[in-house]
Amino acid sequence: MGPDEIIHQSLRLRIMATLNTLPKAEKLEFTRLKAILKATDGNLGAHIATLENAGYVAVEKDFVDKKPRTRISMTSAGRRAFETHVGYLRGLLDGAAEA
Amino acid sequence: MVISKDEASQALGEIEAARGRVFSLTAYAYTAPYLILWGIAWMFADVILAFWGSIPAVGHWTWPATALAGTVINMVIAVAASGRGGKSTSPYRWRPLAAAAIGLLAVVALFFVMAPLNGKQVHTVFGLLAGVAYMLMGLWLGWRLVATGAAVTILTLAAFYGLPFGAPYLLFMGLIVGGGLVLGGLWLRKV
Repeated sequence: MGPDEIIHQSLRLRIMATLNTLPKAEKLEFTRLKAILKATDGNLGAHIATLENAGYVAVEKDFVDKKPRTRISMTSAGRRAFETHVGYLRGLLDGAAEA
Repeated sequence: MVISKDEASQALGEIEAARGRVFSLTAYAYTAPYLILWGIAWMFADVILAFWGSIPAVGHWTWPATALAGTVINMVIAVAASGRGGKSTSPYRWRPLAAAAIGLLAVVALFFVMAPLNGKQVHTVFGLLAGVAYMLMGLWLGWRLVATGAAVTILTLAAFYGLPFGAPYLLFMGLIVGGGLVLGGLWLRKV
């Protein structure tokens, strides 16, 4: 199995790695994720949209105290894809996978 | 898509760094309320002692009563935090409590062995212990705890060598060192 081209991009990889540390179905606020990754609004938003289109993350928008809130969580498909990609990277280093 | 071994190694490094950052931020969020609590307790007790410590009952009971109240509030915070995070299933979840109990026993034993200690020495030992404990925790949890612990340790030593025991020393320990803990806790929350 080859690398996952969607996940491998640096910021998307870090988004997935961060979301993967959360318990299943737990959501992370966009502003919190932005602070953790030290990313800009536009850059982070674009990469989250790419991951959402791939079905790897779910984006939920709502209002709290009349203020908009965006929360992101990793889907089961995203978790599987991330683990497969990490397995591929590890295998590459172990010499088990062909580059 | 072709990935070289160097790229794979770099990618795994990025994943590990992201995990480490989330771990640190989670630890900061968990630790901050305790720093704020004990900072306030420290300020409260030492300011009371600075102004009314010459009254025997106040001198004897302020710190034990504050420590007891602080421990109760500490436990309430811990129970509330465990309720939010889900019940721990680790078979080793008793270890932090056991470590704290062993540490406390060691301090009490040291006080008996080194007796008689004056009030300034006892105050300084607790200040140094708090500072060192935060620095040690920070080695695992994140550099902001190391910085907070280092500040508490340095300020405690500065007070020990720079101020005579009495109201100025107690006010310094309460407002600067206790206040430092509160600021440290707020700093951790802000991340």
